[in-house]
Amino acid sequence: MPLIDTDIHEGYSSLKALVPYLPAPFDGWIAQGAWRGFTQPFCYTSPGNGNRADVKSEDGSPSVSSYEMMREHVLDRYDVTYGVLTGYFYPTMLKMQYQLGNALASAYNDFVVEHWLAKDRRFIGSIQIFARDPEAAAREIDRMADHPQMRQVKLPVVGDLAYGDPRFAPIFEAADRNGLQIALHHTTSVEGPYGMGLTYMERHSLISTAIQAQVISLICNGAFDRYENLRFMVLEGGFSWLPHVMWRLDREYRQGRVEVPWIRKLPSEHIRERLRLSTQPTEDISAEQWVKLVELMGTDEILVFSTDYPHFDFDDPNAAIPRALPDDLRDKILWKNAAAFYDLDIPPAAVAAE
Amino acid sequence: MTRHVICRRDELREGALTPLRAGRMPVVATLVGGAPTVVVARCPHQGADLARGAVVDHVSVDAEGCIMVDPDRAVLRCPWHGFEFDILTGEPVVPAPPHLRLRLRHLDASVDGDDIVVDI
Repeated sequence: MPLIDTDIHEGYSSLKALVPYLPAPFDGWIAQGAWRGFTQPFCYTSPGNGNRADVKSEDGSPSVSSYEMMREHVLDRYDVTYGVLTGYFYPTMLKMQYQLGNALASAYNDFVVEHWLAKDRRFIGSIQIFARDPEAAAREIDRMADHPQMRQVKLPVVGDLAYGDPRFAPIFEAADRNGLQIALHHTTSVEGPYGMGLTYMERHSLISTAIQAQVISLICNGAFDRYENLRFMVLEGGFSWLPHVMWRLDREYRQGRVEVPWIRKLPSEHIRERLRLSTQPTEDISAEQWVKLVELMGTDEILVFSTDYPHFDFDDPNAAIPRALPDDLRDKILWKNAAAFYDLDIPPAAVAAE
Repeated sequence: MTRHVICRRDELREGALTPLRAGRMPVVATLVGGAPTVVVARCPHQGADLARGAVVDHVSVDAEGCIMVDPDRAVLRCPWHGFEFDILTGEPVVPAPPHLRLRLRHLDASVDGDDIVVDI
């Protein structure tokens, strides 16, 4: 049966892996250790320190640097048809040094092309950008768009940027003219309404509030209306909150459309048509609860499966999506909805085997 | 019932998981208060291989709200999601949702001379 994993975090061994792809003077700065790279402002509480405990990279990679390990753990183990690489290094987390940020984004994209995309035709790539400089980000999108495996632009959800803000228009315009989609994923600098909270549990539980805020920002500021061909993917942000956001936005639109006439259809219609949510982390709900949620969403085309490999809250495709779900719904979650999002042709043999 | 010798007694340690096989079944084993404890090596949540799990002391809080551990109560944490299971009873420390059976599956283990044996 086909399987599309919409969220795999490929990585590097260390920041110095980007040195060959960086221009001067930045290559020298990174090579001499002038920056240790991003870390996280909290302590992990899981046995594997943020990763599955069985994913230990000998080179000390903060994510996973070994293609062979990823094949063993995910790609071959679950017979993945396509795996979407979403990165684990997001230059947008830098709040200063814009030229360095832009250079790092370009360097990372070149690194991913050589060290990941080239190794497996099953990989779909995400163009990383330095979103704080939208014009430069647009140039980077234009630069990378021709690569056949690059299918989306990655917007990292940090603590201070709401991507519906019109100042990010160059990014969406570049994605639109290149036929790319948009994917949002939180970073270790994401914050809830009052910050990160006081525990890891609080911080992790708040992620979906930041993601909801991103969806609300995109809808209210007309991103779905201005870019009629763009599709939006939200990764690892939860999904059981979606009915509330759809209802609330529709109600707000009915009573306040005079303020936002650039929104030309009900937000819930926009969402059903062009917003997709990845399922990891599933919330251990029952099959009946899944079905109820999908009914409340008003379509079975929104949810797409993801593992989030190599992270600790990894979802196993055989366990996380209940087998008791109706077959058609399960197929849509496991591959059909993602195939439609990325305009993928699934090999007939794979479908026939289903 | 079939009896399997799964290891020597000196291969097990308190506070550590030893991956073994009982016949064709992957198991993990440890010592708890000197007694062998053997469980099926698949997390009941999503099937993670428990060989990479962790045996830790149960964590709670004292009267002042300070985190403390109980060295007399061992907990097995899944290597993926970190779910906690009482290593002697197999029960999840946090109750499972009604539709999920989340309990470690113990095997009947005993000491036979220098060996640890299980009956399946």
